[in-house]
Amino acid sequence: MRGRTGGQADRWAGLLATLAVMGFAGCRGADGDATAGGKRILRIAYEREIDLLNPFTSQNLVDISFSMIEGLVSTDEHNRFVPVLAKTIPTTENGLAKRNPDGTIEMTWPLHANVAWHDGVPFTSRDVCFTWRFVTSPNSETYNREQYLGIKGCDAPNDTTVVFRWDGEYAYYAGLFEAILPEHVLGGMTPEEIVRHEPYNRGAKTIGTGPFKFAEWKAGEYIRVVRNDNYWRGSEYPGIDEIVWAFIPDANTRLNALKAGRAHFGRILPTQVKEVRDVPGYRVNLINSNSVMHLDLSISTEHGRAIFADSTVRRAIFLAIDRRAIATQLMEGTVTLANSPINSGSAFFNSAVAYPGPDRQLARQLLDQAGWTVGPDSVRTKGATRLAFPLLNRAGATDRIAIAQVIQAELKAIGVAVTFETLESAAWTQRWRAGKWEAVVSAWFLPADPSLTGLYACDGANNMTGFCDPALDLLLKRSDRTLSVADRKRDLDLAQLRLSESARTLPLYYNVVPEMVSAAVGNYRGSGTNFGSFWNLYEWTLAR
Amino acid sequence: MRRYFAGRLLQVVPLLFGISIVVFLVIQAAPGGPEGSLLAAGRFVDPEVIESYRRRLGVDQPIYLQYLNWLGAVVRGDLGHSFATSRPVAEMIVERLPATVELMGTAFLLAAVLAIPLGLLGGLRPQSAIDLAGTGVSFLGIAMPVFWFGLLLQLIFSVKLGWLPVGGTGTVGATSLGDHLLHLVLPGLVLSTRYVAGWSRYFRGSLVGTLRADFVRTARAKGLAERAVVGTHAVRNAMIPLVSIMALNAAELFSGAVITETVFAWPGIGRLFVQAMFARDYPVLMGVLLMGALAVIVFNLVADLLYGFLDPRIRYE
Amino acid sequence: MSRGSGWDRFRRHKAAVASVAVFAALGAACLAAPVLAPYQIDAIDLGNLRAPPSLTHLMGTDDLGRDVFTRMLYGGRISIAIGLLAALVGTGLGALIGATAGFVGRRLDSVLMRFTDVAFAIPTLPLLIVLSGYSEAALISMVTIIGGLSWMATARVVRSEVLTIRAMPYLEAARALGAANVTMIRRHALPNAMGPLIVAATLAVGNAIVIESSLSFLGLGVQPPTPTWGNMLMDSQSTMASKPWLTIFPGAAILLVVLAINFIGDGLRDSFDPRHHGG
Repeated sequence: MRGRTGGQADRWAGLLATLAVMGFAGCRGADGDATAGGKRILRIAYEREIDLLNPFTSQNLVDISFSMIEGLVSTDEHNRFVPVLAKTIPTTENGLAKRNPDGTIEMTWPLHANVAWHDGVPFTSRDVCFTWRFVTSPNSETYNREQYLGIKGCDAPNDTTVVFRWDGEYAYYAGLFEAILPEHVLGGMTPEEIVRHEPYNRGAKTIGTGPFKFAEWKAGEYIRVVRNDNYWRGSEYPGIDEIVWAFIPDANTRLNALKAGRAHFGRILPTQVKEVRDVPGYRVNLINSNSVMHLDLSISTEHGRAIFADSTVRRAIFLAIDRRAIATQLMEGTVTLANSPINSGSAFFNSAVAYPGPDRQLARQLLDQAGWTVGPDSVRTKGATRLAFPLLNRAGATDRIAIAQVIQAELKAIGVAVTFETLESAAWTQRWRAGKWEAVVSAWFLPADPSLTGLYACDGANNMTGFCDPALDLLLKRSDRTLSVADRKRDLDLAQLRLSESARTLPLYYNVVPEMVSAAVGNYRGSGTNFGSFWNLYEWTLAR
Repeated sequence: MRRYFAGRLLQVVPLLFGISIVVFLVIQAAPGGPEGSLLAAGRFVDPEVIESYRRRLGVDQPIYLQYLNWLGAVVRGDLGHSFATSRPVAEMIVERLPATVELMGTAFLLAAVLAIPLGLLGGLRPQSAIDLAGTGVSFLGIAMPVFWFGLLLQLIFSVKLGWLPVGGTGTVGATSLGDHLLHLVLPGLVLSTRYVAGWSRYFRGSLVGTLRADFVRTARAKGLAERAVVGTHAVRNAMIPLVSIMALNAAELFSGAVITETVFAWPGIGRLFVQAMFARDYPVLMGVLLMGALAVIVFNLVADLLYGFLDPRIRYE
Repeated sequence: MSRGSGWDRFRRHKAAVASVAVFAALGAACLAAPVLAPYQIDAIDLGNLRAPPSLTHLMGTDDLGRDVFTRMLYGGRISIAIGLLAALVGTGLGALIGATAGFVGRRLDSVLMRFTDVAFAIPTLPLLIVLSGYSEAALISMVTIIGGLSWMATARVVRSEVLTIRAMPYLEAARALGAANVTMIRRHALPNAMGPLIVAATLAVGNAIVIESSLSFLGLGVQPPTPTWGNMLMDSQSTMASKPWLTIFPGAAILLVVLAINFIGDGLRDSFDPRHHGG
């Protein structure tokens, strides 16, 4: 009774209290301290848990892998390719890219000498050719495998030279081989075996040439990498002794971790930017990413054709949407307006492209002219067809759903009825890829190289909307198959213009990834490419 | 009674088998497949890469074949390999078990520590101010959505006051028992509120009923001291439904608690399951569900056993 | 057990009486949403995002500039409806199965309890994803899942109560007098199991409302733009530190309703309180 159970409860309480006091006493090397025993430990509040470390087969964007594994090139914050293990990127101008009379191209990549893998074995051109053989094999599960298929042969005349034999000109050559696999670890295995090879996927044998080496992976919690003391760029690099990538997928928890000073770096949501404006010791960098939030209309379905086949209707719909309000008000000014799927920082961006509007008056006029009259329920009809369509939303994508609601309200004002069909993420992906939708608000993550062919060509693998413009196809395919930057720019400029005029997709804004970085971190150069902000990790420093 | 429980034990395997079929059908019924995660990052993925991925995982085969392959492997002790990481499912589950059991165990402990006194106080003096206050406190535990409660506590104790860590199981590079316990405090506390309400309510309710019961009146009439009456009879009898509920809840020791784990970045099985669901990682899902089913069956059995053991009036046929 | 004394017992439970008032007030307000709401539920105002409570917006505005008070009223309808319906489905089903299993015993009991075991093992999340494909039926799928997967605990509780009661002498007498099983269940077993059943039912209502908000946390549950207290609470988490009212209103509402229902359940259980309970 009272005495018995009360006494027991007291004993437990006492035990817990004692342990708590012990805890307080014992825990003085708090998370936020960079120095645990004098070591410079960079703590990153990472926004996801990664699947595996092989940069070619991982389904995530591979920040962590790239801290350990390097390639011929990487991408800087201006979408420019910078050589890493290569000394120079071959171009026709510097003569390292040679056009043969039969139309084939020979590219010679000079490599740095004295580069060693983490286990001490020297890095050579043979590793590059090995990587090529793996990626181009049918079952390598490399997401952009097709782009490597233009390389018909790989030669390694000496340890520091690699020669690729291309069957033609491919504009995106410079972005390939962002990672190199170690032949002495993975050689002798079939591609299927390499894909499943746990020691390489999981860390035990994740050998790279990068500034950091694998140390520990605590499942579900963190990955720890340590300084590569024999890094080829010089013993002064890297300026950090250890990095702990803590997996904190929940955006609110991540924010709390940063506010509490428990991490030096973390990516937060645009809606949280205002929350952290006054946190001392941190800067919030709004990184424009290569990802454009846009509205796609589709004529793949019967209903889609019935309402969207007429470009006037599409133009009217686009005119009614106030993109500026979305960027400056809904997104609170954290994002910049986009007029093209190509990032505004890219050399191939066409700044002359613009979308008219917003102009509700004109939109209504256009719809009236096109024969869509307003019915008694305020929705326009033409014959038996109502100008109503569902927006396919992905559950949990709060920013897109917010945009969808704004679009719904704005289109309601011109007599277009938008409903929502919200599906769970994997279900949404399946519907989306099957093309069974009329409208979607989504964002592609474009590689640094601005090839739009897969998205907008008639036979583009990722063209789910059904739009087909042979003239656009010509421009896009030609822009893919030239080594002349000037020619490519000309074609892509025209393509962007043509795309905007065809009113098949409405770019809204460039996605922004706000990165909260501690003032203790030096040489951070935030980047929104698929390489991300850790592209120059070897240069980073951490104040003690 | 022994025969009854032997019979129940024999039913475990067929039950598991039945559950595995139902559960397999349920997860396969969700539209979409594992290739969704290939596309989640928004990159352009070559269609043939998607195809070869599906072929490697075997998801292009008819459902019954996939189930039979899975079943065949399971009876040989192989839970298969995760679609996402290619690692053995058994390994992925086992490495997360200690953290899960630890978190759930802490929550149970805290819940018991809070629920028993709360229920006792309320049951002894029903309708009093103490009862009302205790009732209110225990209700608070189930009335406040867990994520809100967790994030609120996190904001107060981790961000504003800095007393407790934000998440994880320990400070990397500076771990100690004390550090680890500090990391357990918030998630354990938040999770315990889920059980405190139910446990204290059941305990209180059955205590009130027991105290009014005939045999207690008889004991009082016989003149036994109040202490003896309450202590030896009432509480012990009132504990029965409580113990039964606790045993039922104990099955959750192995399934974790996804929201608490997510808010406090705790590497538990709850989070693993939800991530696997969104990624349609069927082998992981089946492995976790099978283990959970086994736990449910076993603990249901335990609960029934306890009930039969503790309450002499109940007869199992 | 006369009605009069049961009602008296309820009235003596002050917290329960107060809770009835609170619940009735909240419920009535939500029911009267079309009349009470000062704004349209989807009236977006991009120039006035996340404004604090003011004279024009009693509870402030949300992340799209919509009036929070309006959305609270409409959201309450859905949250409360989900709670009540799911509890009804769950408890009703559970009571039926539990009472039958406990009373009839033997084979049927065994089958039903194993069926319960199987149901316990079915995961909510995948089922929800499956059913969420039919998005017009969001409310129905939510109720079905939450109710349909919460009956097991009630079934077990009711069954153990019935088992206890079944062994009591006066029931043996009734059976000896020829009363049918169904009559026995209805007249004797169920009323005596009422106490724990009520507790289970009220816990279930609260549970259902809270589960709905947990589903919003996972990105499932009732999807925007339809407001529920649960998804309003979740959406506001990212700005909790600087815009606390956005979390306080839906959070407090959930808290109040769940507390009220549970106190009401307490009162009801006391009013049903049989002197024969607990044996």
